[in-house]
Amino acid sequence: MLELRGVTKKYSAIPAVRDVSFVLKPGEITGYLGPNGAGKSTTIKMMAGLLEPTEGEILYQGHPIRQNMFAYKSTVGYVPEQSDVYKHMSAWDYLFMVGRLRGLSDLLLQTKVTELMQLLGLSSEMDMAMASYSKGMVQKVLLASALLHDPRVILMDEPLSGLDVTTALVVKDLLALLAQEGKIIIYSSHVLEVVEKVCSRVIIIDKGIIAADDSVENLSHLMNLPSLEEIFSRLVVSENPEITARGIAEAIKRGS
Amino acid sequence: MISIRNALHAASFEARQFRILTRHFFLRLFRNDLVDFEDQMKERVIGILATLAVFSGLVAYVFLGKYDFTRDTGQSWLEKMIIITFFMLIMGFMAILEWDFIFLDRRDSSNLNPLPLRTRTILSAKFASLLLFASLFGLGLNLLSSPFFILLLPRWRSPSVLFFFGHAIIHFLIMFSACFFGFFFYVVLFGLLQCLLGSTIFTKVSTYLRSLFVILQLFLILIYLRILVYGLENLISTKQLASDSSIMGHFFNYFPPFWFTDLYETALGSPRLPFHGYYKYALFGLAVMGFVFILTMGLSYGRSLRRSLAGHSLRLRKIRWSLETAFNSILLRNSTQRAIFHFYRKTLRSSVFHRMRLATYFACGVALVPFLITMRTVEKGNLLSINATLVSIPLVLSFALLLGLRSVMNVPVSLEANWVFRLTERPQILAYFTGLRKAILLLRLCPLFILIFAVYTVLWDPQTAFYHSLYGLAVSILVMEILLIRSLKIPFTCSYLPGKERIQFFWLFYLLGFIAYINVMSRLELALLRSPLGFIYFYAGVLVAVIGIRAYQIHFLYRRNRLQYEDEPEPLMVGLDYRTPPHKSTL
Repeated sequence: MLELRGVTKKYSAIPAVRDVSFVLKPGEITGYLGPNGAGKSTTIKMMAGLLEPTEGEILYQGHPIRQNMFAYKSTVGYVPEQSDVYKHMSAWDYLFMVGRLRGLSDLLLQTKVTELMQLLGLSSEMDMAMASYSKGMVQKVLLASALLHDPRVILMDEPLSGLDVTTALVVKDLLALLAQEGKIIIYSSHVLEVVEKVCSRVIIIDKGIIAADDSVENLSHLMNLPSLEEIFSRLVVSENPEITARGIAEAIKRGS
Repeated sequence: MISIRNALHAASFEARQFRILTRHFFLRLFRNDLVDFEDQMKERVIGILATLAVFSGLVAYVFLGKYDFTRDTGQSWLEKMIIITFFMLIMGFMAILEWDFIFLDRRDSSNLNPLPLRTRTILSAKFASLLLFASLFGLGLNLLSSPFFILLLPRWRSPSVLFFFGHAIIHFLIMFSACFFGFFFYVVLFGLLQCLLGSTIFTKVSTYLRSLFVILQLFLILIYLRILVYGLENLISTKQLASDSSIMGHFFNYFPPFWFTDLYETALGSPRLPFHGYYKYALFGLAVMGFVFILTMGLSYGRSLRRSLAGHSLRLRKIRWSLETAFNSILLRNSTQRAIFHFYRKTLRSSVFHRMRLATYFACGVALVPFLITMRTVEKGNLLSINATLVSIPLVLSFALLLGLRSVMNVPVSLEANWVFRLTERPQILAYFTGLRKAILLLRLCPLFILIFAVYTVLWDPQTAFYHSLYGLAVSILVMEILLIRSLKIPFTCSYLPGKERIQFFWLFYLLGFIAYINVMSRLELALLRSPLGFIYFYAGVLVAVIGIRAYQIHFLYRRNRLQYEDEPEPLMVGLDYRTPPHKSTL
């Protein structure tokens, strides 16, 4: 069980996340939704141990993660929002480095990396520097690096960003399989359709505060709204998208 | 009428595109991977130009100042040649600094191709930007040096005012031509190598070539400085030139500064050199260079449009993998060590910035070698005997290499990607640094000392060469341990705050320390070579020192700290309370 208890994160006194509390259970895929700048990535980074909360506590199996950060991190697989990898390295070298840093043997890594690269359709490019990769290819490498050590906690921040339709379908099925194995999974995204299909529970965050936390069915029932998109619009969207779109179209036409 | 107007409009539009592109390419030349001028570009460029102007003025004063009171009976050609050599060396060095920005690259072609631009506009703008760049630094070099030429030399040839002005015009023309030759020599070399090797091979060897040229160029510049300090006489004498005319004549065939000196003298109307006719080489060289430049740039641009990347073959990967596995299983048994070792290796192999920075440090070491040799041994005629100078060379080289490695390690590569190290961090910090030490030792120091052993085996005998190399290696290991003693940073992963060494304040202490180190260690080695049994005690001493350092690190550093990813800034003001650094204290 992974629990956030009253977690707040401030950047130079400006709060990015305010008093966030929720519990993630094994076997559950939790969707983490919110508009840009809502605090999704900050929360995920805190859960990955990359950022320290300003206030509050994150507990794993009942113990604060900061008590033994090394042990906690070894159970976490993290897919970051930005495709920040060492682009001067090849996918093969990068995955080997990550695997070695996680203490995996070379023999095991060779099998795992070869297999993962083949399954993700990167076997012919795995020796090329990642600087020449497309966004989707880098995303595949990040997915592989997050799952390489068979983590018990999987934190995904926009994992489908840049991926082709086939790989996106594979990832969705994979998440379901991993959840069945009892892994704790949090899935942060803007793509509501995917979250609706994949996640058993949804947490919506806006301006750093949790706006809703329940299953899609319950939220739909409680708010009397048919889809997650409409629930999200009601809870989070403050501007009229149609008016904004019209404004942009007019701005483009100006002067031409 | 309308067609003329359209043609004029098209021409003016193209001229505008040319101006914009020239400006773009020109500014890009100041944002290279070795010297980033993006921040306060104007101030830095002015600073560099001023330094060049002052230094070249000083060089001109040193060589030409005497003609204020000494009659020039024709001997001034030698000083002219020396100054032209200096200018060409500096311009060549500037070209190497711009190595990756010399020709249009894939980024240019991918950004410019979708735009309505003619290829001729792009190519001519690129050429104009290079010409502008070379002119700017040519101007810097000529600014304070030219008055010495113009004011001191013409009166010894002719008192005529017309000759005075003609001399000034010829001077500027020849000096700028020589500067362009020095600059475009490397530009053309770049283009030729790219065309001959093909873009795939060239991309792979480019950084090695560039490092080699940096080393060569710095080596030549430092030899030049050595001439400046110790004079020309013990390297080349005008009397010897006259007597050994055939040897020197042959040498001048391949010495462009002499071609331009001859051109200078020929243009003045009465060449007063021991050898004449080389001015044709200068003119021919300039013409060939222009032609090859246009040809290679066109070819290079065409290739950059078509370039595609190809992966390694599966067979090659298998061979490489089995070699790596064997290496890892013998020398890198711990997985963290393996990760750090290969990260270090791959980063230094791929990152041009890091490689060039390291090459610059190493080049300084290499360039010091002729300084050391010619300072003492040549005069005494004992170049090949076992002496303090020859003994100190490996120490100088390894020190420069280690200093360079220490310096480049602090500079991050893709800082935003270091989250992967943070996420996978393990408490056994020692393993990270053992991996790093092994990388430095096996990838840098061992190859260097194997090479040193081979060279000294030829100079001396294999046994002495072995003692010598082993001693150098042991000393270098000790230096490496000292340089890494307080390090808690995984190489290339920590943020970087330049200027922490405060070289501007401490350079004299660093220099004195370096001289003391070289002197003490070379004299100690000389003593040990006389009684080789002493080496055993020395190696035992080094071993104890290394174990001591390691014990200190384990107990006082690695157990009490975590890996560092953020460089700590120097406090603005050092407070008296040493327990709390001022930048950490809260008011």
